[in-house]
Amino acid sequence: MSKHLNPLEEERLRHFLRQYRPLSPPADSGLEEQILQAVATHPLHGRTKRSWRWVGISLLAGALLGWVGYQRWQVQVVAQETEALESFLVSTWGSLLSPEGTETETWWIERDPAGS
Amino acid sequence: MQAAKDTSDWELIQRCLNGNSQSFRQLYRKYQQSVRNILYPLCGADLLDDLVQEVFIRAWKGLPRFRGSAQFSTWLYRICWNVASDQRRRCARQRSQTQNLALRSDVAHPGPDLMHLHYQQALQRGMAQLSPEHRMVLILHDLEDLPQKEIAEILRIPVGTVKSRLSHARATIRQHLLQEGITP
Repeated sequence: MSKHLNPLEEERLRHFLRQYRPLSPPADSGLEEQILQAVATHPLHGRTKRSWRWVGISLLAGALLGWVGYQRWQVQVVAQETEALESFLVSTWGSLLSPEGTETETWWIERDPAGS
Repeated sequence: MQAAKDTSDWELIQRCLNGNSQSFRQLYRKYQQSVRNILYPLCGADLLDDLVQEVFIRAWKGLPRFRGSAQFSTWLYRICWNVASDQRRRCARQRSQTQNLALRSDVAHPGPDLMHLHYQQALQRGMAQLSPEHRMVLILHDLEDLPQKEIAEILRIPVGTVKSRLSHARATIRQHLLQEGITP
């Protein structure tokens, strides 16, 4: 049943098929207008929808990038402020606790003219 | 030639997408006969106009999703196959009517002579013996003259499967014709 045909048999069969192929009946005379009318009731919005979709995606991506940038900037500012505060505290406490600082603060006790 | 045809199709599609439904008329006129030639051996004459209409309306609605990665005809013939498959599922119980297709259609469209008519009927009976999958490959390749690669794209099957289905379909048809006393 499913024996393969040789090229000559294939060519002859193909010729036979084309010669005696089933002929489709002609279309109804109103079919073209019917299809065009049906099509007219379904306007295509694909392109508009697609462009609006891209606008939406662009706005969303822009907003996301802005938010990420703001977050990074804020982290940097906080880090800088923290660093400045730390250095301020270190310098302040350092000057208070250092021997020079103590000496500076107690000079009036040691060099009191009345006590010497 | 092929590239010019495709460019023209692409331009018509772009015009349709820009709201010019009259460009769709040109696409319809260009492809309606091929669509009929594919659908008729698959589904018969009774609902042919309705099915052709369904193919073109589906195509219209699907135009915004057509990316142009394949030819328009490939995409359109894929829709034909889908419409024919849907119809087959809807009317599975009418299989016997489809097998009697030849008698009904030839009454309406008699051939030029009796021998021609006899061959046409024998061929239609032979094609009715094929599964829709084998029949579609035979129609596209041997009747519509499409290359195997394009048929593989239309049916979304490997080229090897197209070859094997074609070989099987030809052998079955030839065997049927021989049984009816016809040597093609």
